[in-house]
Amino acid sequence: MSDPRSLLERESQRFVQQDGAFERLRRRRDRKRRNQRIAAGVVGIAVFVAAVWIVTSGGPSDRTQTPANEPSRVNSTDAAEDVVRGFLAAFGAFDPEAAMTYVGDDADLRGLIEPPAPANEKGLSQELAMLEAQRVQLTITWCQAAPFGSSTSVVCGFDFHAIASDVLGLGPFTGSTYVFTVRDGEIVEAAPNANLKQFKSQMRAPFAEWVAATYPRDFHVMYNTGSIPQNPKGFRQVRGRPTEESMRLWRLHIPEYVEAVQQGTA
Amino acid sequence: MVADQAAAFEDFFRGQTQNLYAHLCLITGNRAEAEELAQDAFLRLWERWDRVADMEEPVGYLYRTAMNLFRKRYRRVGVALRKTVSVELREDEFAMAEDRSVVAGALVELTPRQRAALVLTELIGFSSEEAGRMLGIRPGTVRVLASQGRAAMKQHLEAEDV
Repeated sequence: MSDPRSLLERESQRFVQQDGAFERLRRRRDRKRRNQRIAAGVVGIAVFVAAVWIVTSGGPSDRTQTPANEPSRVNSTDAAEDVVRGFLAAFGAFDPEAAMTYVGDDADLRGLIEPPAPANEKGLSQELAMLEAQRVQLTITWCQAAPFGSSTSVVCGFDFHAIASDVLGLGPFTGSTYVFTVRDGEIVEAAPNANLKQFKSQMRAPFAEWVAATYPRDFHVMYNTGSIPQNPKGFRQVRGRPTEESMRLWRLHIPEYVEAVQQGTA
Repeated sequence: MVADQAAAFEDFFRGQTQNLYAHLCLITGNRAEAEELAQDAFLRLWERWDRVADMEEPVGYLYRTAMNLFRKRYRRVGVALRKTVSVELREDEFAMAEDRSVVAGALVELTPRQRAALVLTELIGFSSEEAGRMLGIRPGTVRVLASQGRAAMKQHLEAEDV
């Protein structure tokens, strides 16, 4: 029997590429460039339209039924909404691998991923690990899709809990949205529009103040800030640092904070 | 300068495209899919050609890119399959071909990962470390997959008395 290498070599010679491969590549490149140019314009308009739609429709608090005589959405918008819902289900389950299956190769995820994490699967993985450590729970309350140029714009409202707000009887924090652009069945852009006002005053700032007072050394590991803020407004602005050690401390201190609040010491 | 770069890329493309396509055919078992993966990989190189051209091993970069795309595609199909049974998968040509060669008959018995490990290490000659980086798995796993592939091929070929 011949060795595997020569057998594979011989077998590979059976596969001859069709002529014109470079021309096909050139056409592919031109198509991609054209789509990128269109996308750049469409994304800006889509975000604007989504914002207008949120304002004029009463936003996420508007849970009214769609009128029966409204024209039914075309399949492409339904499909785009399914893609976004699939992504959000994976996102909410902190599963970056599954989430990335809904995302296009050249997607812009910078809106979802806190710098300096890269806007790719690794960055998303880091971001989701951080959200999980902060005990974030997302509930998608509604989604609305609308065709826009060669893409579909999908806006989804969400409520959320974080830092065990559900255990403390606070939240859910409402009035936030994600805006997605979907093209060819893949997400090409995603950006949140989070309403954090109540969350900052009820959860983020009190927890950060408690950490600063109880574990001042840990504060610098857990938060992306050079020094401990000197006033309540400063605590409302602090952001979690997405490192392994930081996440470990978030997981450790959140239950302690809950206990302290329940005992009236925080 | 730009024209020089374009010409250099075209030369590189013409020198590598047939090999990459044939190797991807062996790995995926599907000509259309191999063509798509090869074109996507070359397109990515073209977009970064100003940097890739200066690399010591642009061919290695080409294969890393192609394997990344291959992994991504199979992961997508895997996740989609778990979610629904109605996903339309492209059929494996090794399995379909009525006049397939004995080697193709052996390859059809391997998983795409085993084929990839075998082609990258045995045929192209990448080390198991390099192949592991391309496939996103440990070098030891590459060696295991390639060894399984070789054993399955050997068994099939012996049965066929080749």
